[in-house]
Amino acid sequence: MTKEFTKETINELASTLLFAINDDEVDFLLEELEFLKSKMDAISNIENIQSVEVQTHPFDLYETALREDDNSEEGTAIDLLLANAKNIQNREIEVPKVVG
Amino acid sequence: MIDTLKTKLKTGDELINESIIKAKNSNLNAFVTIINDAKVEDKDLVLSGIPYVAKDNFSTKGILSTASSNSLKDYIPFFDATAIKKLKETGAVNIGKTVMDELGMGETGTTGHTGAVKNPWDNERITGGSSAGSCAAVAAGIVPFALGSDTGGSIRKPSSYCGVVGYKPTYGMISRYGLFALASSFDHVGVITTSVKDAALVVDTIKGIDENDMTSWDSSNINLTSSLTANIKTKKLFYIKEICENNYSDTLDETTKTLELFNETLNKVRTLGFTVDEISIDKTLLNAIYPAYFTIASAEATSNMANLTGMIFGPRGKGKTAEEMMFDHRTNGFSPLIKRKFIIGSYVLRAENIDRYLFNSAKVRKIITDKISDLFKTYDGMILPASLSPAPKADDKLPVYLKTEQYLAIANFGGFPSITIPSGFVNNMPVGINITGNIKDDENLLNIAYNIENILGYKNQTTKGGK
Repeated sequence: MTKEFTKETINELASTLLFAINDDEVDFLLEELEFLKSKMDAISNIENIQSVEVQTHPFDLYETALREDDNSEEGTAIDLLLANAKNIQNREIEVPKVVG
Repeated sequence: MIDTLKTKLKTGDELINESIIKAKNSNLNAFVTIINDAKVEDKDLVLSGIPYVAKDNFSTKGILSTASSNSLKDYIPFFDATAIKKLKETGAVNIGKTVMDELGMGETGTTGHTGAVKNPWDNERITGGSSAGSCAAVAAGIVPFALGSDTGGSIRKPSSYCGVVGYKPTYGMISRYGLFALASSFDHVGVITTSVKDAALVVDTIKGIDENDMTSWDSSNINLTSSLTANIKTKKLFYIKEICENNYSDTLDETTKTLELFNETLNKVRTLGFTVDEISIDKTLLNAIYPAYFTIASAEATSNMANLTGMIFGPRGKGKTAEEMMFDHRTNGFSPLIKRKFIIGSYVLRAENIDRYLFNSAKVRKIITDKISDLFKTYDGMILPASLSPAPKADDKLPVYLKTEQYLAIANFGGFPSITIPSGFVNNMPVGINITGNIKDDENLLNIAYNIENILGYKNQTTKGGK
């Protein structure tokens, strides 16, 4: 039987998320995922769960108001936007060449 | 407390200066930043001269805002969060940014990048989290109130551990604009104070619809402060039997005492003339709260925090390509705990897993929300212990059940207003009760809490006395 959680799966996910994790963390995660899976198995046994709708927000009573089209906002000054960037050149953030 | 402090003000700046000195002298590790030059701008406003602190996940213009993470250790926002802006407009003075669990993802107060926060009642014990420093600062009497955020109990649990009042209003009553997003559908802005009245006063000044937060709503017909009236008698509350009965597999002695105190508290509440009924809820459903919360929160967090790359803010990583630089930033910027949560969040979002993990969790959320909403047709509120023990010692091996002690998240599932107030002591450590009400019924909830607070007698409590 194929195991659902493997070190390879974890490392692949970490790589997709753009960070490295060490072997101890991988082992810990395997345990955590097994724990979560056991809880999820219990959830799938809740009576009639398949017929329940998913809830993605606390409630559906939001008030949305359309604003006037002429309500333009003042933009943010570029020097403020760039204040936290470490490598800048003129009005741009400097990054390594991305497109070949 | 805020009213009393206002009447004592002479020059306007004395409370601010006093709080800054207390913050500097405190040994609690509650602060990422102390704002040394904080001062009163306008002396004639509602909160003029009243100092406060904000959790470090609120954007504060020109002031370091790190969310207690190395990935944001040098981030200085160029704008104020709406809650901060409104406090500024009413004269309150921010004197510091407080330590939290990294990026809000923790419940111990021990995972911030500047170290663990100590509980002011006993420095060997944790404060709980994630609004750790905010609760510690209020409990220690450094400031009369603090801003916090609550995604699954992050205001209300540490408030219990620190013996203070922690209130998160109905979802969207306070704008989340400028609050670093953790799990957007669970995130609430709230306050930590030493009395229900102060909580009402502060929330009245910062609530309201905000064009920058589409989930905020118009609450101009709600006035929390003026709704507080003594001697109400006809309120109906319920508690959940399965949470309050003492049959956990590895119960601590302190848990037994906490539950005994809770029962004593219920009897005191009944002397007000309130009805308090026991309600039974299927344990399978209650046990599903923690995994459902954990799954949804991890999924939302991993998406929300994909912007932490070190490219346009945060420390720049090393590398020859943009991908290498982001990889280095994220590898060194996040603690192992955060990485694990991101991996779990990413796992449950995969197409082959999303039904079984994320959607089933969202269905649990629906069942729980509907169940509690239905009970609110009969009852004014749900009353529960705010924690199942006082704050654990920092080196305690936590009992297994604490992993499932996540019922405070019920209020985040449905956006229900929820407040923790202190209810007494176990082994010389404070514990609290938590009361949750129906959405947009905050006036009723706070009035119930206000009346219960009056008979319990822990109003204006800090470690410096001042009851």
